[in-house]
Amino acid sequence: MSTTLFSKRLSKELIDLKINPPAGIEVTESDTFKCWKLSLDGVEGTLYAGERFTLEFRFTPNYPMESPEVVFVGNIPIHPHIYSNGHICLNVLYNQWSPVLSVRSVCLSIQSMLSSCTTKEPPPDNNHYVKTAKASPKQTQWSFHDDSV
Amino acid sequence: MLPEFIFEDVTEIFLFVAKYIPRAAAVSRDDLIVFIITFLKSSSYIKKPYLKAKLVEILFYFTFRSNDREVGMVSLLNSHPLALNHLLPALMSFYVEVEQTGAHTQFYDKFNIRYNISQIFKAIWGNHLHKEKLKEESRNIDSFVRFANLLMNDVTYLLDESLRKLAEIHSIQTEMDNKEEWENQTQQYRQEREGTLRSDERSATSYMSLGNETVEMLVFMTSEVADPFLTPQMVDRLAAMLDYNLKSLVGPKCTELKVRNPETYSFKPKELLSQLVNIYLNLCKHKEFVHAVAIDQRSYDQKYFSKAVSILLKWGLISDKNASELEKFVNEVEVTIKSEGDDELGEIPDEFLDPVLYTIMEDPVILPGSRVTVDRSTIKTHLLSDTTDPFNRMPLNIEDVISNTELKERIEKFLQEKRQK
Repeated sequence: MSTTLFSKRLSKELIDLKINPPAGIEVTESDTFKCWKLSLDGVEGTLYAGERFTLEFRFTPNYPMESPEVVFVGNIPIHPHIYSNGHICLNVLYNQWSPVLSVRSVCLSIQSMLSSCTTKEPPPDNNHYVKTAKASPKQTQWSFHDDSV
Repeated sequence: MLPEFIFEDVTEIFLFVAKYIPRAAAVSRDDLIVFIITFLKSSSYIKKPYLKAKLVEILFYFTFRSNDREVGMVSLLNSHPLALNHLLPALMSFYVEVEQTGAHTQFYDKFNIRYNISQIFKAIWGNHLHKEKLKEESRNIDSFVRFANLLMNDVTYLLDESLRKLAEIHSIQTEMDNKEEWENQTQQYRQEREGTLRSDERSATSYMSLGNETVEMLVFMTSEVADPFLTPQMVDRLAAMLDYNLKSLVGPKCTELKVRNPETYSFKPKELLSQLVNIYLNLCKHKEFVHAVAIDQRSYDQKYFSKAVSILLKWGLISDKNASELEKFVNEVEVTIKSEGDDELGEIPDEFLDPVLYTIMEDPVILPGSRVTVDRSTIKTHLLSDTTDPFNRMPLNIEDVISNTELKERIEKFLQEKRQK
């Protein structure tokens, strides 16, 4: 009767996202429980209005006990907390993850991070980071210093 | 508490002796054993994990030379009463303790220390008295599960990392083989790729050799004591991890691992495959494990098993008996998958579902801080990696959760009624 950690949970999340999608967020690819893609529209009235981005979620068999790996792919937004390789500096994706969070809540956090941005510029250490970063952002030692954006 | 510098001096001297002049310790071997085991076992005297790591290192150097009768210590570890009673539990609890050494290098430290521990284990686990002790320890299921969980996490991480690095090495090697295109790349690009290759080679080698040791330990543990690995907080993840690695080794992407001279990276695919199959064989008689493999929709596929068996048979690495046992296991899994599909309960009231996993709760408990009800197995699994209440991030102990007996009764009644229909 029990089932692998993630499959029941992810099917439930998927149904929720499809039936009741949050504004500007849409699941575009969910063939497996390994990797999903979602589109994220810039909110009207913010710097990203009219732009569309794609988020890629990768789930380990330990999801939701372990955080998903979340990166931007394709068109990467220019933002002080988003590196040009798609890695996102956001604490809930790493040390502040909790199994109570979900794909929906992560998308909403990222959307609000974009919306509250006041100047479109890459992170100050972007060049260095992109050169040295591992493939998965979960292997980066993040330090979260700025809560304003 | 002892003044730690005194303790440290003693360990330093013996570490030196163990490394360079082991013969010098021949007369005091008994005392040395008493010293090491006493402090390894009694955590309260020595707080700093790195000091205790030295004790393990001394033991490692002595067991490592086990073929030299005069200096080897293995026979003593297999006969000294203190060692027989306490060495194994002490090593296991230290294995757990080094998860957090407090140093900024703890993530890498733990692997070095655990490598030493695994070598000592290997030297003593042929002894039936140590085996008895292990069985005794495993009866204390909660603490054993902590150990087993870390062991499994290490295998997961190390195999994942090393196989990923091997795939990268393979892709760079292929790129370099294509001479014409390679020469056309810019100098800078080629230098970068060569640099990546060298660093990949280094990490692949160390991850792989550690991975091999850890897998071997998992094979041994599952052959001696299966129960802790069949608990709800372990079995599903263990099955998923095994299936995933089996798929990497024999699945469609296995050609990505075909690097030149795999043995220079300690990568022995046939041996590794045979070890994984051994773990399956160790657990295949247990219905919990069959069920866990059956519900793994991520990597499980019966054809990987037949492929693995045909490879192993070709190299004489599996007996006919075991091959047919594995086949029987796969059949059972297939049967379970089919019957699972029929086990539909229809609409389940939301309050019966675990809020984290959306599965029906078997043993609902109330978290004292947030007052949220979750299944006991869910919160136990969560607490293995994070010691806070996931709903409000306040510290949480498993002892403090409150059984929600009223809800449990209602769920049981609900299930009974459904089954009768």
